[in-house]
Amino acid sequence: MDFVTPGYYYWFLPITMALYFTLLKGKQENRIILLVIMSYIFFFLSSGWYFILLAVSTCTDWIAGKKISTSDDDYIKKRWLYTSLSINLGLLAVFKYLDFFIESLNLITLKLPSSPEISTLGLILPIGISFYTFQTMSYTIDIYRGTGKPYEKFTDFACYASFFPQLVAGPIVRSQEFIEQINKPREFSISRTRLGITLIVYGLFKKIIIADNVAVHVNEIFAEGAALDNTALVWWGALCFGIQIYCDFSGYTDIALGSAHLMSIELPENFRTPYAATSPRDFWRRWHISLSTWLRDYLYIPLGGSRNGNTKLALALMATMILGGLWHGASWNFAIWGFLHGILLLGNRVLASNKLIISSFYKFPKIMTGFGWLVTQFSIFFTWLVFRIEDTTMLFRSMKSFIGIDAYWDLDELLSSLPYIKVTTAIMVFSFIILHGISGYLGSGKYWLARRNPFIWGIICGSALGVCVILRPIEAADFIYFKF
Amino acid sequence: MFSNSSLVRLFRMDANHEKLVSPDGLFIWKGNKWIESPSGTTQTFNWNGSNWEPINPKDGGMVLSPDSENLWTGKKWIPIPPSLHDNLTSKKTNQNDKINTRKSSFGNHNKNMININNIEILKSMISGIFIFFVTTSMLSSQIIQPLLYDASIVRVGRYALTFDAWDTIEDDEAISVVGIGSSMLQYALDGNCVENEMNLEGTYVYNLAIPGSMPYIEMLQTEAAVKASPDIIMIEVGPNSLWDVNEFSNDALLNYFELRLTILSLMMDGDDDGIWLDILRDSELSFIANSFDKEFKAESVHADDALEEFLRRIILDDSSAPREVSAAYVPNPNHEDWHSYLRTQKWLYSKLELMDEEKRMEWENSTVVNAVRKGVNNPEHYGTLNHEALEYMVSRFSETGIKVVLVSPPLHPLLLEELNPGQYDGHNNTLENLSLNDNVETLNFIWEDYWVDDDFFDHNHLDRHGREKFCEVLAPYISSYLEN
Repeated sequence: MDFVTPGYYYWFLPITMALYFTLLKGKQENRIILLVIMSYIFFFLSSGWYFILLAVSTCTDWIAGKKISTSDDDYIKKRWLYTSLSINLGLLAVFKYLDFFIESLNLITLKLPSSPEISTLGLILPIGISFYTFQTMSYTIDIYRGTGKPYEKFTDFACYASFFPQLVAGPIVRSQEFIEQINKPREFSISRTRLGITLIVYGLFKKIIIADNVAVHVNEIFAEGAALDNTALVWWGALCFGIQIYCDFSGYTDIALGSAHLMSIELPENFRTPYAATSPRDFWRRWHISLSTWLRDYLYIPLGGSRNGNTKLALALMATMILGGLWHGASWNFAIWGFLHGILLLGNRVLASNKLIISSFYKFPKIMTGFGWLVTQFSIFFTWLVFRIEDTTMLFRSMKSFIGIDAYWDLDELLSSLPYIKVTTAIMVFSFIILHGISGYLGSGKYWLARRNPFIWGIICGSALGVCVILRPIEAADFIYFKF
Repeated sequence: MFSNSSLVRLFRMDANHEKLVSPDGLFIWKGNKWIESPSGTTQTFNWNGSNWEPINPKDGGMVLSPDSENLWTGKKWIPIPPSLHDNLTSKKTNQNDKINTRKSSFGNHNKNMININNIEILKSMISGIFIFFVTTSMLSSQIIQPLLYDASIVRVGRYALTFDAWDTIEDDEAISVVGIGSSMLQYALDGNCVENEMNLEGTYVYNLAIPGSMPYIEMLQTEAAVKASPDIIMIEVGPNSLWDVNEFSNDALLNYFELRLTILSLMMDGDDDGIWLDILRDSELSFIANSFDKEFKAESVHADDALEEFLRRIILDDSSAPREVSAAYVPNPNHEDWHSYLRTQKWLYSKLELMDEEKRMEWENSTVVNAVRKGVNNPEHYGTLNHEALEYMVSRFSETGIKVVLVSPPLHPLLLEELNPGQYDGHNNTLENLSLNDNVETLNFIWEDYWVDDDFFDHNHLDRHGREKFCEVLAPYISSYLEN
């Protein structure tokens, strides 16, 4: 089960809501237990018996959090912190990175004479493991640092670790934020319910109509044998993939936020019109915000941050971005993707302190902002190639073509290389670009929509849902971030 | 050096010493001359309506270096006091942010919720649901269904015509004779020719036979046919009608079933359900769109292609539909040619006439010989799904007073020569058994010896000569049935 499975809307969400607001009215503790049960059912339907890993992670951090908070001994505190980190990172290491490590090792050792090939374990990546391990780890680390308090009830913590809307692909919620939410008295609110429905429809539209349809072009372009020396084709592929991954992930997040609102719980935003960013630094304030702030607080700052000179800053930044890249998946592509973003952020810092650049921004603010946007987005879409193309040969060809090296420009070839459905996809892409801008201008289109009067709301939401139902792909594609 | 107007904007530091900063921040007035200041020096002041007045340093008024690290005392630059550091650092950060991302507020979420009452949520939901159904039905009836006819999104436009044709027949207030079956009857029956041959005023002969069809699929139109109540229904009973679907199931056949059943169930009305639902196997039953979800799913199968075709026609004035002269093209039910098309369609030009000597030899020695071995030319006696469907249709029509004529269109003489003795016994026996029903006649043209090579399109379809001959031999029978 996931957010595009009809069953989620036919029975799972209605039953959960009905029980939450009617049978358990006023009984907050029972509601939390209900959410835990429903979350585990959801997780079981999504990924089967892997829910045991979630339970392990939950119990580990619950115990570690308790032990750290009740002990005065620094040694004991540290020991429990390391226990928590070892188990959580151990789960990640085994289920996510072990096969990758073996494959990488084989690549090296196979070049040595008579070295045996180690066979991979073929482990299936448990859905959502990167998200819930980071979330539960942050709980323990916060307690250790004294910046967070331990939960009083295990059920509250279990709910925090497993809350079904954000369990599988975030946003990564901080424990203090979550406890504030579930501690508030929760009564059924029609305003919040309409907001929740708005976010769900908004998210479904992004995922089903935009992401899944432009994905057809992306798959066709970055397939073996495609004319990747054609800059026009590579640009179109990168543009489509950038739109696909944003609509896929932010669509999921919108549905998660909407589902949580239906339980009167507010989760943090994960996106803020990222393709309006005018610098790489700005991009990371708008893209996957819950991960970027997690990496900042639990990796970048502990590694020294910006307070220990330029060299340490550069090292901390690069290490953070490479590890952040690897968080996405066990592949060198993601590491390179993180590395490139690290370079962009360092470049951003260098340029931002350049007097010429500063004075140019004062003298020509609009032109320089527009230029900054263009350069930033060009760079961001360039990095999407690394994110998308696993095959090294194809990746290097595409990267060269993207910046015009050994490449040509042929629109006719672009059009003939694309699948039959072109006009629809082109309209979607250009509509997205315009609507993304309008959404940013309005201060988020989804919240703007949620504030409209009933008739405008009905027209937009009703037609968007109708289009989703009719134009949905026969086989809905999985959310991209499910595999992270 | 400066005009008076520019000096208006200068900042007087204190009463005793005139320490002024030029508007561009590049110079400081030292009492008797301008001295160079660090580039980008800033100052703070208030406009009192007629003059710029200094802000008291206690209230934050000061002349700052561009990096906000130094303060101009009137005589020299000194580091800012620590108490001001945080405040200024945040100002500096904001300033840098402004430089980095002049539009960082773009996309900031305005998450303000509006409070709505019960009436408004009711209005929202009603308008949303109403628009949802309007959108889905508009997409279906205005875009998808019309395009099913002209062969732009499916290969054969005739797949869509069955139920609209029965509606036309129901409304025509004429004596109506309708032929249903596979492409054998489709290529044999020229309705207009039969009408002329019979010379009966106010009689229409319709040809609703569909390529590749068989009773197992044709049975879906039974209730629609009963509603339309034609005077005679001619049902094809030939090689395509009596083979065992279970024995010869393969992917191509299942895909054909899916395509036909999906389109048929999309075009039918709710009251067209009948016993045929019990005859369908589960695998085919799943294609019947008998719920909202299934209907939406069935529409979504063709929705992408239909929308693309629709947009191409509107935007590019381009279409992938075959021209109106094509055999695959079917006019829409509201087209002026619709009624005449149902009686006399366009047929493909004879394959045999286009063959050269070599191809003709290959056809005789290979195609015909292989065709004899195929399942369709080995008709079963009874018990297949096709038999069950045929028996259901015949008995249903018979009991509702519709005259049933079981027609066996002719086969090429070469194919008949290749048949083994008794190979068509199943066919003969089935015809005999079905003829025991009331109101049923049989017309078996297979064994008549007046069919010659020149009458055939290929081994089992008639060409224009054969159609004329078929018309001549069929008309007297139909005429006599109608007179009786």
